[in-house]
Amino acid sequence: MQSIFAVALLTLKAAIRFRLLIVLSVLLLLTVVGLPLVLKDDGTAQGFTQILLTYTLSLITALLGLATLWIACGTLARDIEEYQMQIVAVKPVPRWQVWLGKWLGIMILNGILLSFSGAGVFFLMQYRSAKLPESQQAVLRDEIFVARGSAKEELQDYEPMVDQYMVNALEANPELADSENRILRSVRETIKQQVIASQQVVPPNPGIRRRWQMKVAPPEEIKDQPLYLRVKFFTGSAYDTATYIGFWEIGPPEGARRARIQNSISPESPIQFEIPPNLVDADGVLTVDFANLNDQPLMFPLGEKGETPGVEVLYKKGSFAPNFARGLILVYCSLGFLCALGLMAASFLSFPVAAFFSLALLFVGFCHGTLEQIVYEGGITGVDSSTGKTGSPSLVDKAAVGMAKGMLLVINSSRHFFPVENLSDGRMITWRQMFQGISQIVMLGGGIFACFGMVIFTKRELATAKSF
Amino acid sequence: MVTSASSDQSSMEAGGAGIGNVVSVKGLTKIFKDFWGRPKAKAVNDVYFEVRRGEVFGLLGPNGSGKSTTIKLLLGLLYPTKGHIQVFGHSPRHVATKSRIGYLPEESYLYKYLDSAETLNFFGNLFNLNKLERRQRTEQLIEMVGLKNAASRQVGEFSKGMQRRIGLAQALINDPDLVILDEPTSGMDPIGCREIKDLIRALAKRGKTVILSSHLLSDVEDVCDRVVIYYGGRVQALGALRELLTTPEVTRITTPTLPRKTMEQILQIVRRDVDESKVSIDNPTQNLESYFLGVVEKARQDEASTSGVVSGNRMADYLKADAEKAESTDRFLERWTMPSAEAAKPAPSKPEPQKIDETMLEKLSQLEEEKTQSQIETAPKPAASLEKANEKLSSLLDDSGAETKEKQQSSN
Repeated sequence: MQSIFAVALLTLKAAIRFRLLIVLSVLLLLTVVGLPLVLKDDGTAQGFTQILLTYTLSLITALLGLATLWIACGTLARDIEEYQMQIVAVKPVPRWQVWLGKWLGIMILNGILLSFSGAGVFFLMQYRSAKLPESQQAVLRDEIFVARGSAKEELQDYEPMVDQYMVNALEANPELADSENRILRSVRETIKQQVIASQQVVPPNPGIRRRWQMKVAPPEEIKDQPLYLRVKFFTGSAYDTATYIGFWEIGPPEGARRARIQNSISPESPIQFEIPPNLVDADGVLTVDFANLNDQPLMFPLGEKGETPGVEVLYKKGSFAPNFARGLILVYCSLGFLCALGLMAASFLSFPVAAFFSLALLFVGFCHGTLEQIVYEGGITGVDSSTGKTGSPSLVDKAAVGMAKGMLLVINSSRHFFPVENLSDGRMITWRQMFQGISQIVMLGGGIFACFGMVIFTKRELATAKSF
Repeated sequence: MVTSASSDQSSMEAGGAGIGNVVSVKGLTKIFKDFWGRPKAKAVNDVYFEVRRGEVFGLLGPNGSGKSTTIKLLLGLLYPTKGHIQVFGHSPRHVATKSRIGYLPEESYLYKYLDSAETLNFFGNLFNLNKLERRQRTEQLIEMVGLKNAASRQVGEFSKGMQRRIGLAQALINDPDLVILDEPTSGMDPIGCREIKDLIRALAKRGKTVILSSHLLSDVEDVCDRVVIYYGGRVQALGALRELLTTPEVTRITTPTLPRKTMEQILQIVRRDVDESKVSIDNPTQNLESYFLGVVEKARQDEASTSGVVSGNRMADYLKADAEKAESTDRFLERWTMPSAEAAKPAPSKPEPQKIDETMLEKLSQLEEEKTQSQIETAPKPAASLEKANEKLSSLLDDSGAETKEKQQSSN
């Protein structure tokens, strides 16, 4: 441990002596204090939150992320290129400890910078919120400066239903049974999509109710606490800017306490509205019925594979300060992952190439929207304007979609732990999420990079210029 | 020469690493390859040698002959393409073995943003030395390498010579059993060179093994017990330095200056057995290093101050150990603290063969009456040439030399 700490301290000293700490501190100070001064909020709680929390915290994360990658690549690759590593490597220290010491040093630096900038954001928000109108301060208190739990409809297992429909289809069309397996699989998949769609789509019929039942919390725990319904839906057309009428009946189906709300809602972006308290039943379940009073069907996603569900309930579960601290810990975990990535790249690449490699990976992470668009459009060439999708996908399109799907899988699993969205929504970052963050981002993601980097660093010859 | 290398190689092949060998190298070959794995250069080619405990072993050869590559292979910084290396009976990549090795690389690859004390503290930590030990050793080593006045300056601000000194200190922080020095005197002023050579001898006397790589023949000649000479990655000669350098067919007799009559008698006797053309006679001359150190010592006695390196005045206590007799320690310390005492002594003369000249004989016999006891002081040097020599030597000096020169000029 002594040598690991010695290398960590050395890394820290390098950051201080090369004035990196000062430069980063100034940049972070400009972000925390300067950004809210330059970008004026519109006086609403949402505008205030967007600038003081969403933008600031995102920028801090981006700055520290970039700096982490840069330092991680530099500290190891340059030590190798400038031969200092030759003196260190001939000392009785296993090379993995040198690698780990570098990681630890950078993470200590990140810890210091993130704590100070996080504390700056927190206290500045508290200070500046006092200047908002009283009504907006109330919104902040109830929706942002709070840790709210989220309740969703439980996902059903549609397989038995699909099997039953398949049996019915085979009975109705006996000749289908003699078809190839490929065709049978295709038929089953179509049935499955129809079943799921039937659960997602609410037809334009005032007589039909789509019901969601969500387990919130025991009634005594959320007594007199406001609840919020968060809704996201889609229509048949892409990029729809129209608004639709929503009619909601909320409360125990058989009880007298049912709230009726009619409102105007926009598709594609999540919207949130307050519902009266004390509407859950004795088991803590909240029932929400929706009637489509419009002239076209509306589709509410089920919330599969980590996607945002069509309807969810938010309720107060904890206070803001510890939630904010947990959010910072998740940011810190992401920095640990980036640090491992940078050090891994520097274990076998020269400094500029390692930096490019790591930054390119980070850039791909930022292009989440583009990747989603590629998947949605089904390719990267010739989009049909009427459907918004690639007309006849070529091999290149198919390859692009495959790659985009793969990258999205990785990105989405880590985006799940990006806390800024949760904090801006006043959502609770649970201990479970934190544990998952530490285990998945640091231990698994970072660990894979770390093992790979340590092995390469241990195996490589340090006295050759053989890094790429 | 080649015979010598071959015989040593044969013994290695037959007996392998003998008892007491610190390093054993067998059939060592290193081929550098390009990106595609194609051979680019054969830096070391089928090399055999061994290094015994307590000896100073020299790696000699011109630039690019494979000396540094061999050292890096010994340290596990490069991996052999073929052959075997054992250091203290283990692979060079064996981590625990590294605690017995001290290494000074050919350039001072130190962290430029650390000062001397921080540098030594850092490397002390890598050897798991406790805080007290690190502090004590750091103080002693900084004093030993003469950087006490520059202990708080960052290494990046150091001159090359000062960087070599702190590099040497870090190589000794763990009191190593094997010290590997790659071009240790590179960038050092003559005082530093002498101090390093003295240190190497002192370490060897304490049972430490020293491997020294250099292309400066005088360095190797002064300190090495055995040498291996490389050319083109191959061993060209290997053996004890004394054996390699002795010319058995020539005899040299050194005496104080003799009266003309005695000399004639001696020559007469010699001429009976040897042809006159093969007999030479001259005055021994001291080497430039000894003369230079005499000048510097004189300047030091005149209290010339310097902001640069000051001569280390004592060996680090922990390096003295108790393996050696106090007597030899004292001898070393005497030499370390008072370089003038030893330095002033002329190096063994290396006369150039020349024909006997009667006028020379006469001149030599006349000198006898004029000479005083100390040769450095009495060697007859015209004032003008002495001044010229001083000027030349002062330009070799660092800051301290510059100040010495200024002092001398002002005193003139």
